[in-house]
Amino acid sequence: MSFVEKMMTTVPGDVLPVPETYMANETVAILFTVWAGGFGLAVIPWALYRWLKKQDDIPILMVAGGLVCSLLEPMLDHLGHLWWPTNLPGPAFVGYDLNIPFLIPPCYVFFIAMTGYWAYLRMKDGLDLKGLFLVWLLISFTDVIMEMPGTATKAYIYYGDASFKVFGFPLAWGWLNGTAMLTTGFLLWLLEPRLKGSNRLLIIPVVIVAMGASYGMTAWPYFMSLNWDMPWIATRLLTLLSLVMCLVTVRFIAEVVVSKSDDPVATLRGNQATA
Amino acid sequence: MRANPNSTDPGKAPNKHMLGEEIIWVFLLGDMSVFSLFFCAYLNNRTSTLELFQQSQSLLNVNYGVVNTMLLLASSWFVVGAVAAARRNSGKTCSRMLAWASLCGAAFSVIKYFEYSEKIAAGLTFGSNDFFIFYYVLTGIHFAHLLVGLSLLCYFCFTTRLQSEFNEASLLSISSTAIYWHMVDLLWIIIFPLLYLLP
Repeated sequence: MSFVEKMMTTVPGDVLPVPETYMANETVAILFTVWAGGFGLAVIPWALYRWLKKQDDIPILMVAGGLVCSLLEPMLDHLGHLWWPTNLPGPAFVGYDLNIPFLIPPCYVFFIAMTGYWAYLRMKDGLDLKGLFLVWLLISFTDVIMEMPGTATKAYIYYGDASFKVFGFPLAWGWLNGTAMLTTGFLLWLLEPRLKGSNRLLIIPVVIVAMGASYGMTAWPYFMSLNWDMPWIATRLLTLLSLVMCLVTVRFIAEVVVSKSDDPVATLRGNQATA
Repeated sequence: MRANPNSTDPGKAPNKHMLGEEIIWVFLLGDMSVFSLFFCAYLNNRTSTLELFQQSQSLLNVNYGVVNTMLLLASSWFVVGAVAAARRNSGKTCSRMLAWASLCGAAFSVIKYFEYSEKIAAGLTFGSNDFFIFYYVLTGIHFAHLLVGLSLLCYFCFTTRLQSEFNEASLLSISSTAIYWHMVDLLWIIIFPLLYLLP
């Protein structure tokens, strides 16, 4: 088959069967559970310490937000063609006929909520445009570092012909998750100073709102590439479009964060009060 | 719920006794907790299938491990020198020390590449047995940590070379990188005897 023929071959996006017989090696299953979930558990004592000893409630509320946000996982797995073998420790819960393993809730605590929290701290300290893109790059890289050992060791699988796979890991998840983490940090940075008293509980849904919003803004071309029937080349181009959407989203966030405004909400409204 | 406006920001060093950012310590302690669980799992599997682990361990080249240990210890020494130079506002020395540390890290990477290539050529791959699962997971994840650290060392090596004064923020960043690098070193010091030397 020539390259042009391959480019134009229709990829049947909507008829992929899940690899339900796919199983992970038992040792690998345990190691990957520790790797992806361990950080989230390890951070909880520190979040409690910040809350109880330092009267800083943000980390513990973000931990709770991360746990709630993990409920999004089966939807993303279904759209993103990810299969969790049923012999991974778990399930924590079942959704879209997918067994979501125990590692997922603590994984969201660390790799979505706490990395978002770190991005928030950086924004609070003050970031320029380059700094903000660097933060995005770093947190995108944390996702790659977390996921690639899992796909490389076949602890779980991205089935089908996803674009730009390295060691079984489609790189698009790196930029999509990185943008979700940055958006989480951004929304926290925007809202946290305005939340007083019992309203501070609204920090919990910040994580799920930001992640949902980010995926809505950036992941639609990638999910389209996986789930629609289309020529092979179109799947690659749409995956690249998701990267462009991520860069646009990061640039939007930068516009507000680097404005040095006393009131970022006013900046969003258009009546900027520069410090 | 309450937020104390006087609470120390974990993104900043909370007092003079803590080097680097509190949040970096949290990440490192989380990382080390995860590795501790890996080590426990390794020791548990090793105890139950001791003969297989000993046979597989004998196929590793201890010399590679020894050289890599020396390289990482040397790199940590250079990093300590770099932090001390930054505190003295000596950008050139700081950059030079970081360059040496980066060189040690790069040499470690090259040796690791040869070691992996040898093992794979000999048919000792990830799926060979449980020992090699642990070997590739432990050394592979450690190697990924090392590459992140190496990128940071190179970055600061270039950005500090013309710096004649280090403000609090840049000192904090260099200290945090140094702490991270020491953790990479510390993890290797545990991985090396576990995988290569344990009788």
